[in-house]
Amino acid sequence: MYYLVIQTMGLKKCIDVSNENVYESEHLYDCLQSKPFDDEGKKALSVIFIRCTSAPEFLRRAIIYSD
Amino acid sequence: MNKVFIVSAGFAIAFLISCSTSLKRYRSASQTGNDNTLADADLFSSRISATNSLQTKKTLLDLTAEAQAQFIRIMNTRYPDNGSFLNSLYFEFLPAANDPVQTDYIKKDLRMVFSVSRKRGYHDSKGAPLLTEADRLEYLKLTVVLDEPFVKFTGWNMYTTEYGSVEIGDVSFSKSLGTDLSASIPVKINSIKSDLSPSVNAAISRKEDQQVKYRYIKLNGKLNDTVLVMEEEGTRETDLTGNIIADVSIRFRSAQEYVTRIYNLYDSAGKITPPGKLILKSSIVEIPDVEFPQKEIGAKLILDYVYRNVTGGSKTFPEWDDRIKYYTGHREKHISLLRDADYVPAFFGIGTGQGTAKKELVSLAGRDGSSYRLMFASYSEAADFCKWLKEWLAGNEDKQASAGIYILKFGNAPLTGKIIESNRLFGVIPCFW
Repeated sequence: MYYLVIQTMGLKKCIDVSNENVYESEHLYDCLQSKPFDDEGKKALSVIFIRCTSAPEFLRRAIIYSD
Repeated sequence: MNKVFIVSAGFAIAFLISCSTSLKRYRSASQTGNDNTLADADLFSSRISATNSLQTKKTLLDLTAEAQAQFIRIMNTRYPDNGSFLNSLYFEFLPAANDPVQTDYIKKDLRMVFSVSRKRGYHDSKGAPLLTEADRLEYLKLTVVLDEPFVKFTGWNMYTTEYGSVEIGDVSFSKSLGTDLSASIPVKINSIKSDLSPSVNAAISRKEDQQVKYRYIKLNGKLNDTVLVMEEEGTRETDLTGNIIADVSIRFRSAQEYVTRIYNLYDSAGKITPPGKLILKSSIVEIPDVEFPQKEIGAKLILDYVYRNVTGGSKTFPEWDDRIKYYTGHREKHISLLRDADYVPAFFGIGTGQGTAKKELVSLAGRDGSSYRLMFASYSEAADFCKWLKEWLAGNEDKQASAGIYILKFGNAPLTGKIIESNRLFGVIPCFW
């Protein structure tokens, strides 16, 4: 499984989960979502810069994790 | 001879006239060089506008006089015994139905008070300029450069100095300037010796009224996203040491979060409301987009100045007779503008992991597969719901907790009384602290 995770004020939040790594920079995601996520045993694959539906004018840093 | 005398007298008068005006800036001036030790600037204080906390509940005191009387009559009828009636006066009521969270967490008004000082040691130290009491800072430029990319200046509200509106008073002084010029010339005409002693006396007395209130400072400033520049130029006799106040607006880059309010936890009789009858209002709020909250947000303070060092004529107040040397200087230092308490929102959730990086918060799961963190804008709202949750689960241990149309989840699993029992530290926790 692949997890798209953003971090605000020190608090990590998984905003999307997928069976494949479909995450790309500049793509639009619902950053208000919060999926169950525990980074223990997961590997940080890469950093991308995404857009959030609530404020698409800004790019936000996000990390892709995998099991 | 007469020519020499007339020319000399003319020079003397011209000299007196030129000396008798204070419209000159100085007698002589020289650019001496650089000395970074003559002046200093620091951030004396900074104050951020407090984030407004919202009054989320209404009590008897929030009602109008007419409504209060009506309320008391109704409660008196509904609770005839004295104790229940008095308790009913402390009930809290549902706020307006569409009461969004109106607090602005990303825009702040910042007041900075800078203190500018100059060196005062009036003794001759090795290699340093000899400072006098007539010295002053003639020009200064303060530059504030923000350290962090997630915060920027957005507006300039006010920029003042302590001289801005001060009327000091009038100062009068008069000065007499005079000189004598005489010549004794032996003259021999037809074997008759004679001494011709022409002389000229020139004296000018001039009374001068200087109004100190005419002193003013030229203020200048500019602002962009990350840099704030303030320039001051003092006119004659105006020393620029003192305080400078700059009121600016700043804005954080924003991230969005849901903040929820839950109403109707208890009915008017204080009885617990079933989950399906809870009313949830969620609103999107903008909070600073900071990945890791920092203890302080700082800036670089740069001071550039021109120091007017009086090497002659320091005894007099007017500056026209001063012999001066100009020194330029440059200083840089780090200042702290905001602390974490100034910008990290005090949101609260329900869960575990207080004080650690691994916080687990209860979330709201919708029927459509969406899932949001349950966050409250105040401790009291979170504590009220946590109390309700624990009370309800105590009577329904095996059931899944829900609120309105949402299922409450903790991690991957629906929230039950057993989960709370197994997590001794389950409770209200600050989300970002």
